[in-house]
Amino acid sequence: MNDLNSLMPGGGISRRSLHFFILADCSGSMKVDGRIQSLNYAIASIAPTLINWEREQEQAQIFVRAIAFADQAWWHIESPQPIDLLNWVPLTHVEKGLTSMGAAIRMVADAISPEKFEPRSLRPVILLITDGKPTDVEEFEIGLRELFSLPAGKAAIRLAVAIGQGANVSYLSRFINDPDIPVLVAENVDQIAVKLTAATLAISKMSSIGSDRKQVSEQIILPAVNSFIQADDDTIV
Amino acid sequence: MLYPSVGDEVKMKRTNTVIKIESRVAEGGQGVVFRGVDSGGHDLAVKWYRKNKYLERQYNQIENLTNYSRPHPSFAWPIDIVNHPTIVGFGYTMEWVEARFVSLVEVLKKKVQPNFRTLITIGIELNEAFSALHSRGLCYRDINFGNLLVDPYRGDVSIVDNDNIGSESSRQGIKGTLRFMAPELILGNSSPSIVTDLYSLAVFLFYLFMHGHPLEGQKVNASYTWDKGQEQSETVKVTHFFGREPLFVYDPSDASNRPEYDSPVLRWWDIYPEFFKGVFVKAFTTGLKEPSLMKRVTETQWRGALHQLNDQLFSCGCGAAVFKDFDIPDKRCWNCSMTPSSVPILEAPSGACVLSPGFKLTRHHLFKDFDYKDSIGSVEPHPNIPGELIFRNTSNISWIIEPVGEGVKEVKPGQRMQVRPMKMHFDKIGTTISNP
Repeated sequence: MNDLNSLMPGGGISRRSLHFFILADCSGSMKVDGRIQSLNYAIASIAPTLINWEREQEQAQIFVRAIAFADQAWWHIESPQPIDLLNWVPLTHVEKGLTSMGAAIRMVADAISPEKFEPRSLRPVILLITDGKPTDVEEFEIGLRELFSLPAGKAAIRLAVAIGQGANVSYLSRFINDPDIPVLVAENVDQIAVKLTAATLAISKMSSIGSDRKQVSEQIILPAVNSFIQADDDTIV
Repeated sequence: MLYPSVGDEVKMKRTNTVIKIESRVAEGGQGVVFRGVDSGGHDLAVKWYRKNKYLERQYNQIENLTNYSRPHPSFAWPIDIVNHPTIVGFGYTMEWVEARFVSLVEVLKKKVQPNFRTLITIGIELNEAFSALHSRGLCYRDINFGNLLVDPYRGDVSIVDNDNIGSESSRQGIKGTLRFMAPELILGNSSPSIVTDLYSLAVFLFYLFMHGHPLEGQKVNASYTWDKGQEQSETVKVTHFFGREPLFVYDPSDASNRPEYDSPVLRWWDIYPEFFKGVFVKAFTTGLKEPSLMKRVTETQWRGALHQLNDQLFSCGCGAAVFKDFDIPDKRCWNCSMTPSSVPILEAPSGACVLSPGFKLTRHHLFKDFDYKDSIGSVEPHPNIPGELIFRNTSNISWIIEPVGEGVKEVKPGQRMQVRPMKMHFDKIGTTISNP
């Protein structure tokens, strides 16, 4: 076609940042059954879903940060990484490491304080993955208080994946602090990726502004939970 | 089991055609999409619904849609309900969307943009698809970027996820995707309809041409804060800025919500001719607050505007694609800031057209009969003289031309003529080419 072959203005549309914080447990028990490897695999496998979602909508650009915790909490990815450039360096468990979940929550609270958090960004997503319960209970309480005192902390989409039976759901429910959103329980390591995918889909739905959290929860998170319950309900009476 | 597995066979309800599930393609909020193959080896898409409490309604909805034929080739329309021998629930089949189609928003985010003719073609195709749907009394209800795929080279459009389409009167769960929803829908004063679709269409076209949202400017941005005591919930903000007090970024009487300094909209808006911007002004001023077919911009108006825009495209001497603006004769080029030198203009009955490579003269230009497909002539670069153009007669009748200072000549079907000032006769229709 002899078309007009002329210079065009450069593309791009204005988008808002969606900051996604992964809080990952690296305590000693994460070595059991290859949990930590499954966690690494699961994070790598949800990335394409998030990249696809980001590509197909106009509003959000996803940036990932990660905090690991064991005897203490530390930044695994400190500067926000665009999801499509995410290079996930595998986490390793800390031999006999504790579960400083409280310290991790305090770190994320600090990162989303008004002084540090990007003003035009969408509400952040905080995903907590653990196979246990906080060993720093006092810090955990302080962390939650700090988190919920912040506008961005209150508004955040908080999700939690519990790995195995050892995970204490009551702490995680307090972190989620929303009766409509259940803790996603990965019974075994195979389910970590499945649960993370459910969480990811929830993120993509909930972060579209004004979406009905309850409806999203019913359509996406609960079926995943129910399917687990059904699978578990084949006991012979 | 919740979903069919790869290798399973599902059966179409009406025809009993068996489809073999070949691969899992995508997972969305409502279910999972698979690629399937029928016995003839044709690819089909199969969407299987996730178990949810709206399942029965979804079933009726899809069954109803399969009773309609596809309104426009752009729709990946539901063909039939499918069932699985053991898995409870249902899915439906639709045409497989070819790989040349990619998400429109993905295209708009890219640094290198399709040329304006392609952008305009996408706009025209999208508009025609909606026009065909609305002509049947159906409405789309949930337009968003996830539903819209385009061929970035040819400008073809493919609209997927048609399960929310229905008649205006039918009850339906989904109200829409907030940023594309009409204010009256956000406020809950109305249910999805053709009128609310027209609003969403305008938002889409604004994104396509201006690369941003028509209501997201400085005023809205200023409300995005995570400071203590000043934050509002997203729902409150959305209801306010997209529902209760929406304000167009280029509202002529209120400049308080102009695009942010770093918004791509600033640059794109200035490129277009005044008449085209005026259509958006109508769509997002009266069309914003007075929901009716009269106050919103209809497909007929968009059709005229998009074709006219295509007629005013040319290339500046610096190489940039620019539009002739008959309201601003000395309008400067967005790239080199100079006023482009004059271009040949064909005074067609439908309006003035700039003759530039890729321009196609259609029946509508001459007869105003809304036939934009039948090509009468096309403009190409001159094969031997750089900077000059030729006009090829692609119709089956001869053109009679009277170039200034020359005698009467004939341009036979298939023949080419060099573009220069002249009188032209297409059968009984007379036009002129000038080079002011």
